[in-house]
Amino acid sequence: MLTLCLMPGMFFFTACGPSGLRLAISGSTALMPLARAAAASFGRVHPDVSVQVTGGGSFVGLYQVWSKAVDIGMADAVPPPGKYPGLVGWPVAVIPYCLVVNPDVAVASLTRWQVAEIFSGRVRDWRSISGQGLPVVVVGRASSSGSRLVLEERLLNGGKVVPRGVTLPSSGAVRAAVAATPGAIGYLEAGRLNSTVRAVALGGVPFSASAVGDGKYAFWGMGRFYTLRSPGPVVRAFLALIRGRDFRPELRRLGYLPPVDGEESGAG
Amino acid sequence: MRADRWAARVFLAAAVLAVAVLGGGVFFLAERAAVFFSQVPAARFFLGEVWAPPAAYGLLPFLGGSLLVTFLALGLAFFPGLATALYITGGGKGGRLLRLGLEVLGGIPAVVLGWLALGEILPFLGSLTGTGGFGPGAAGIILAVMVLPTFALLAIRALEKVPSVYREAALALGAKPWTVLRGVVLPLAWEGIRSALILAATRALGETMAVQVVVGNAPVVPAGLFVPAATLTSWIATEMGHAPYGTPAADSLFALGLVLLGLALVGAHLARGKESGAGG
Repeated sequence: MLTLCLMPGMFFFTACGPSGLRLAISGSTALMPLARAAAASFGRVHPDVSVQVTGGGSFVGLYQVWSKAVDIGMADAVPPPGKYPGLVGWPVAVIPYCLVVNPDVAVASLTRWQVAEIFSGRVRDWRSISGQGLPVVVVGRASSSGSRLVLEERLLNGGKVVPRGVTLPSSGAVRAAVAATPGAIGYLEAGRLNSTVRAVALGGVPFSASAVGDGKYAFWGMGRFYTLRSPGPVVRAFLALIRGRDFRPELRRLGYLPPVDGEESGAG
Repeated sequence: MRADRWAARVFLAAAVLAVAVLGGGVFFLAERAAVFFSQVPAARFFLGEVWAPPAAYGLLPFLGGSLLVTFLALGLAFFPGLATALYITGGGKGGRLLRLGLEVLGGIPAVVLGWLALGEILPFLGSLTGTGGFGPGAAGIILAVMVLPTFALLAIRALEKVPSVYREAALALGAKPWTVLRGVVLPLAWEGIRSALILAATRALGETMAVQVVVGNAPVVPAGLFVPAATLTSWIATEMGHAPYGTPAADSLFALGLVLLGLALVGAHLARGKESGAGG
């Protein structure tokens, strides 16, 4: 009889909620490098706390923090109105994005209008833009990914990305696909740029931290860490570290920018 | 005696647990899907050609994509797989090595094949067709590579079940090897080969990782082999992390999951029916 009682329990009900010595963070993959770096710094000051950072996507993070499965949910998208009541969003970083093309595409800069034409599917090849007879292959993220929402909001004036485009589950996959596919164009966090793809300037303004700061470069989103309304001391200490001045050099090194002063907490 | 009773209890507990976990999974899936169908009429889901949440939730783009890549994979894998199985069971040279190779090929993780496809197959197909290469065509090719070992190994099992006396008797009567194959071996093993094909189909239908990388994940009814499309699995995996839990966007994924489960059950039923028919 004993066996009967023990067997199911042992493997399936060892759930561990947020505890004092364990800080669980999940959500947007765009914010994972930031959370990981902060976790490393945090560990040096609080060696007794183990910080776990996992991805999953903005809405996974929001759902998990709301259902108390994790302590902090990372999101670069704002929760839909009425969903997840009682959450507080703490702006932690401006996430700049870049449009990237396959190195074969001879385009250095695109106007807003051209970007809208390309991502809405009206322009099918590069002829009218760069004179090349290459097909345009739009590569992007899922329809409710934070990155895609930022693109639609900031560059397409709320217009939708063409459903015929290639959709991939992560920025890494987008970068790999753009790098491998002639004629491809996609978007990713500026922190994920590397030499396999080429960043495109927007209206003649190439991405740079100062261009974002001056308001000349519009392709960016706000990354927030969501917590319950009154977070515990460990969560508060972690938020203080990641939002503190001392962490800013690290934040910039990873390709993010500090949130604009004056923007306090986001949607609740 | 006591030990027997204990053992029986342990096994019963394990069986109950297994069924409970599986049943719980199905129940969870059905529960979320039921929430979805309370908001979206089933007819508009099952017959819908357009997927544009929150306005339209049509199943056909994904069902079409899944069936297209599955049939493509089976079409590409059938003859090479069957030929390999016949060669190995026919006692061809290097058969053992070939069989080992099939087992190794079957063990390659899907994600590795997916990245291989992204780096090699897509650019090749792209340059051939003047597109990006993404689409059901690339997915069918990569799935064919994945299901070929499954199909060939199961077909070998079916061919090995044919008693060698039949083969020998036919040869003794003066039949040529080709005649023996066509007139004796294949008809006797056919039911088993068919169920091998169906099991390979369910594997192709359920495969996610490799397909997700190359199919393009565009939620539109497939318009060609080299135009981005989506399958049930690739779409669920792409949207899973992003759809806010508890919204129709997320519940719709459970409805897609239920359809996938239904297809897998039909496949399993067909495969079992054929096998028991053959085995007697």
